[in-house]
Amino acid sequence: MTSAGTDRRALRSRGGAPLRAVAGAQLVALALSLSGGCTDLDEVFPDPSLTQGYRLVGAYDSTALRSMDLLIPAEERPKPYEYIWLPPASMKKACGPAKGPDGLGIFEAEAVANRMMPALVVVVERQGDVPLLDTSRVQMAIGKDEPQFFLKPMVQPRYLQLTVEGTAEDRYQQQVKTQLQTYLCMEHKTGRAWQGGKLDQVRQALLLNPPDAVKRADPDPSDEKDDEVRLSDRKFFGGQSEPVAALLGPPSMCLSGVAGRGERPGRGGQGDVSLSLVPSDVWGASLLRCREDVKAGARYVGPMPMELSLSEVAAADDPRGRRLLAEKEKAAEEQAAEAVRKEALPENPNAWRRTWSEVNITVREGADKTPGQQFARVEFEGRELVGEDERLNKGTIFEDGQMFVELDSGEVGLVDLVSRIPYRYPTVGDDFDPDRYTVLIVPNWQLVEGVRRLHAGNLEKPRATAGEGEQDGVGWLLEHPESLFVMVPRAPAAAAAPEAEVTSDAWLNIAGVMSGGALKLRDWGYSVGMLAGRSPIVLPGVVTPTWAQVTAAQRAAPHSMVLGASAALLVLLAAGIVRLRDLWSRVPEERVDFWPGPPPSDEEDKDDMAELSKAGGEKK
Amino acid sequence: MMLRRIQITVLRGVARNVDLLGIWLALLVAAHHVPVTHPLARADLLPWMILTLSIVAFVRGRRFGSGPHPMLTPRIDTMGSIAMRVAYAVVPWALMFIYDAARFLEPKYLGYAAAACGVVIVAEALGSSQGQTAWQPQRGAPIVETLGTAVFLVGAVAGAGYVTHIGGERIMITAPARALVIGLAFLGTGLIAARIQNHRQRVAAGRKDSLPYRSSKFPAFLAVFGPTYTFAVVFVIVRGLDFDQSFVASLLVVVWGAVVWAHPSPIMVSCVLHEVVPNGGADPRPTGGQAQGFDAPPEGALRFNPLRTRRTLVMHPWLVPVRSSRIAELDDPVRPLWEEPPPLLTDHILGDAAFEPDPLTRQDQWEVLTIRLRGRADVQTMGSDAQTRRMVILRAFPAPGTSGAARMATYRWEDRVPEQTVQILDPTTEVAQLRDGDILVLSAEGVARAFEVEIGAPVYRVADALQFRAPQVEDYVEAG
Repeated sequence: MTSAGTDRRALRSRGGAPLRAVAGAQLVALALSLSGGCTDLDEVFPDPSLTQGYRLVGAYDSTALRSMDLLIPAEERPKPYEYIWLPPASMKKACGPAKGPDGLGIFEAEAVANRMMPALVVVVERQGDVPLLDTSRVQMAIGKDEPQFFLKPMVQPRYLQLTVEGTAEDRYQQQVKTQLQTYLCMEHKTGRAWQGGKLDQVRQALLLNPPDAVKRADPDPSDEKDDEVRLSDRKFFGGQSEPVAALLGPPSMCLSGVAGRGERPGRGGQGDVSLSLVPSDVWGASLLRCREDVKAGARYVGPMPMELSLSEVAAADDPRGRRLLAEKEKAAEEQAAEAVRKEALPENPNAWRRTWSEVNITVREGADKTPGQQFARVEFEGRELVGEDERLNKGTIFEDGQMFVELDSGEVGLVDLVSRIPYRYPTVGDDFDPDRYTVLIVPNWQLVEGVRRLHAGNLEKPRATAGEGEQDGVGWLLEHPESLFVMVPRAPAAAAAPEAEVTSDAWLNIAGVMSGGALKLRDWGYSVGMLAGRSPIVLPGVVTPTWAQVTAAQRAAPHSMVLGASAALLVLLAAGIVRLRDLWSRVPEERVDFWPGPPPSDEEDKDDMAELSKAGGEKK
Repeated sequence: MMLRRIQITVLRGVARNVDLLGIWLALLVAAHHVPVTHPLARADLLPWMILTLSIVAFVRGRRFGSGPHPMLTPRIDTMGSIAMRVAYAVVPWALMFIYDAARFLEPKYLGYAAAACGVVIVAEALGSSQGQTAWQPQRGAPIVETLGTAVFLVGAVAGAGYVTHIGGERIMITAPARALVIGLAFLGTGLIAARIQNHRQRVAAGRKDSLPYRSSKFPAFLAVFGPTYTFAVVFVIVRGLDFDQSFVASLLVVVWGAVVWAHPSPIMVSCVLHEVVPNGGADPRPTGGQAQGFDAPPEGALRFNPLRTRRTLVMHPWLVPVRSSRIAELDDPVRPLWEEPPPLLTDHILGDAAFEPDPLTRQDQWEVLTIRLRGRADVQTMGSDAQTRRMVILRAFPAPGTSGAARMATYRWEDRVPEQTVQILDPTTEVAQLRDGDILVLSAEGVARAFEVEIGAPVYRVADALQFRAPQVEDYVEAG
């Protein structure tokens, strides 16, 4: 970045050179480039295709864009319900029914996909050979001058095959299994990701706590309990407080085996009517045994998550692109055929986008049988783990650590192993790079809560949400883009993600381009800057976003209009400036005694010339 | 002085190429509405540059050569002119499709190229009467020349495309190839406007110095190699130029359009002197005839303000020559076909009036009309009494860029106006300058007449100028 800035300054400093020098430099540059391959010149004009890093290419309200009928051909307009959450039968059997929030009965993925709630969509482009943006490599937040309220974008559902084995006593293995069953069934029931956190945060996020209470504006003095009211439902996810990542689709998990343990019969939830979770929902959780063919990389054929569609990209209709595409497709076919031969992967080359992942938990006993001497090692193999391979990566996510840690209360608790299992943000792309764009979707309620906390000046205390204050958090954020922070590693090519604590040394805010720089020219022009203004967008649904939607999302039309108007204004301004002194410049006058001219017209009340002529005649 | 010269050059360049500037701005705005998958938005920028060149050619395109013999009157055909402009605009597309066909080896581009060539042929046939002159010194269609030119253009463009194809899309190959297509498109547009008849006329006429006529090759050379070199350098050095920076490519095309097809200088400019009368401005009447000091304005006179005038129906058309800093004999030394008519009368009531080259830049200009007074003689014809006869040029406001220093007032009651706004023509005045809107006040014996100068449309053809009657002194000054 620094070197790029230096280069730009160097480039600017050339602007004042005489034309002769520029022409000479061009000649030398051409000669150098023709003979030496432009080695030196690349420092000044780096090839964008060689740039490594992440770039913000879109930030918009997907619900608003999908709902604008004028931007969409009639046959492509969205249906009232485009996506319905269908949990896998195996999960329903093992964990019980999946439950949406009270009063709404739908999951967040359905609300976003069916345009029932504003949703902020942030599209980040991966440039060059850098890792995918997993949950540890990107952070979203809102705040004043610094990230203060961290958001949790929606994540892809996981399809996990779990194995617990080792030399520890059965009771410890059973505890691990119970944790897996409980937490992962919660994901299934609520449609939300288990990413750990404080007790209140987790309970609230997973609907174990009731919605926040709201202070009545006019309480009944005779009723002591009337001064506050608890929201009777979670309509539009009101009453949510701490951000929690929603799943884009129903997850699926199974236990491949636990040493010495058989499968527990399904003793799932308490029925479909009561949508608030109750303890028996939690403790009745279980997971079914995996089929034999379920293993890391195997295709998952269960219910689909919410579809995301990328608008058309430039290479699609480029003849050069078509040729490269044909070559790429040919190579992909050969690679897929090879993979089928070697690892019996499915023939569909895109099948790897929905595959099972494997979690292998090995527990071992240390010096004795006390909880403090029990150690666990968690290995993961699957697409969620970011690595060199786009399809399947293997790694250790918990390195032989203590299974039990001492809590603040003095008790001993089992380490949260589930929250360490990685998630993956949805990615889309063209045929050249299917994972080129990472899509970060934030439901409106998270933003509303954050905005209200920012306004209140208290970021820790949840705000009451009784229909007061800001309702459209997405709209507010797009109007105040300086409050949005999308942070990625400052060293994008580094294999290890930086520490979670946000520092300017380790994290780079790529949403800064939306603020418009020094003059704050953000209310016009491309929402994400000139260089990314024609980038594609991603919308929920199976229909490819139209160009009209792209221009609306990127604000291309206002940008072009302002450019044209600015040019006209500039011309007028220049013309005005060169004539500015005419405002105070005196106009010369010439004095004469007599002026022969036409007779005065009847319309004129007074004609000086006629009077003068008359006066001149009388004088003679 | 250098800065002032640059300033004038830039401002005059912008003013004379405002049409191209408008094209660039329109394309700048339109680029944001071109879908990313549209053929115009191709990442190599070639279609966008061709589109820009096409529009520039439609507006500005013309031949590179000197045209028909200057003593022949070319035929004017409005529809033919439009048809020819269409042909200019389509030529770049034809060349680009040939390039694409060779580059991608896809037959559909050959079809596009054939269709574009067909449009060019039809349009040129429809516009063949535009600019046609009578003299055919040599009969016969220029088949060899036409075919040779076409083969050269098609071969060069197709070669560039094929080299790109076998070169594997490497920037060191694609950049010069794309640049060459643009350069050849400039050349093709200029050549399509050329007439072999014009060349034959000049060859048959010969030169005034009895040497054989040779046409200038420099304009065509500049049209090919100027854009080619510029674009090659830009494409090679600035990597990653794509449609997001389309405004850069279109700006370069527009600039080269302004260079290759520079705005022509007129030979004369139509000017009109409108007779005007004051619209108000009477001073109060005399108040008893008491003597006033020199610090009070005279009473009873009419104050003439150049902003408070009213035109009468009397007007005097006037054709003012534009004097070039170049010597016309050297620019166009073709031998005349018959005895030349006498030169136009450029003398005006006040002397020798002409648009002289800008003293700073030595460029042609037709904004400031210069009148060279022949010493005392011309002015004295107005009368010998300086107290009763007066000629003044009033300018409401000083011209932009000129000094705003106040002139020294004669009387204390006079306003201090900018020096540039008043020119008093007395027997010692040798040069007077008029701009559009200036007021020329002639007064004698207390009776005054005023004329407003209007600088009108330029005249580019000698034939138009020859039909004009130059104004005479009697047109302005009543006898007696």
